Amino acid sequence: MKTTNDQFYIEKVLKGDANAFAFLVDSYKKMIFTLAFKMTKNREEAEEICQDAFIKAYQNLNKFQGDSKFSTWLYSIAYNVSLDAIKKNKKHNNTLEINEINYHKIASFDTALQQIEQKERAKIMDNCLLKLPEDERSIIWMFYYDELSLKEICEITLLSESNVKVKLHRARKRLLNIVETTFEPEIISHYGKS
Amino acid sequence: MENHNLQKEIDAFASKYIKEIEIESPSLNFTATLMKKIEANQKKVLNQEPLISKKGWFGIFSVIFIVLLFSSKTKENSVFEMPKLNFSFIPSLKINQIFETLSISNTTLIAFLLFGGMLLFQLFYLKNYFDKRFE
Repeated sequence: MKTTNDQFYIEKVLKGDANAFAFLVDSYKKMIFTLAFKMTKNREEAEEICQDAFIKAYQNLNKFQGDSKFSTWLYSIAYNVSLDAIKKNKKHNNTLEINEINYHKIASFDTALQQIEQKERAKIMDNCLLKLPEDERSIIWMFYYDELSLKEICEITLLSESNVKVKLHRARKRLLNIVETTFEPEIISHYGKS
Repeated sequence: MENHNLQKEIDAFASKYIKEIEIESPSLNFTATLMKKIEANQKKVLNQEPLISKKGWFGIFSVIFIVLLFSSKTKENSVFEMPKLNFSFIPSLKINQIFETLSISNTTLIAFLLFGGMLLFQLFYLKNYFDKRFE
């Protein structure tokens, strides 16, 4: 449904109705802004990236073939603009070691998180996510939040499928490590026992 | 097998909690600002004028047309014959004589040369200046 709607507005824009583009912007601005924010961790920068991405999309709309979804195409533009911005100010790099994860740890994190109110929990998880290295953060976001397929992620990031899988695998583990360090160890051990 | 199950658990955990994270929103006037930018960009594209404007082309063609008209009018010609053009009226305009009678003083000549030199220097200097400014 959404794809046919997109096509309708795309054709309108191509016929010269620039205002029709506003509908596309409204449909995707949150999705694009969130990706840019997750990648750069900076609101102003994310907003700028988001604007640049939409302007690029507008200027190249005639090149959109319709082979992939419009959202995927737009996502790949935003992803590349974000990468360029990150390369410009190389301050985002942070690497964390990956430690061993076991069933017991997962269960205890789960129990601990369940005790917290949902809104608060979402905030904590968001902060944990932002601590991941940028490349893993964007991929894990696309995969779990936007529910993009591996194929679509490959299309956006221009990485091979095996590479995306490895990054996802690492990102998940690292995320759990971050959750572990975020919580006070006593709380985890307390809930873990119950 | 053990490892596979653990991976599944990790996957389920990530999926469950990442899905709960709230989506971010850009500023309220995001779309309006963006559309203004797009409009401004469009105007910029529209303002790019060709080197020779329509009026310019009209002028060039009308001069060519007039010259051809004058030269072909000197003789009657049939439809099947190539028109025989006669440009003999051009020397009668005595364009050369205009330059022959023109005398330029040394002061004017030096002034023009200096002006040309400064213009070239400015072009070079200004180009660098604006290049740096818009970097």
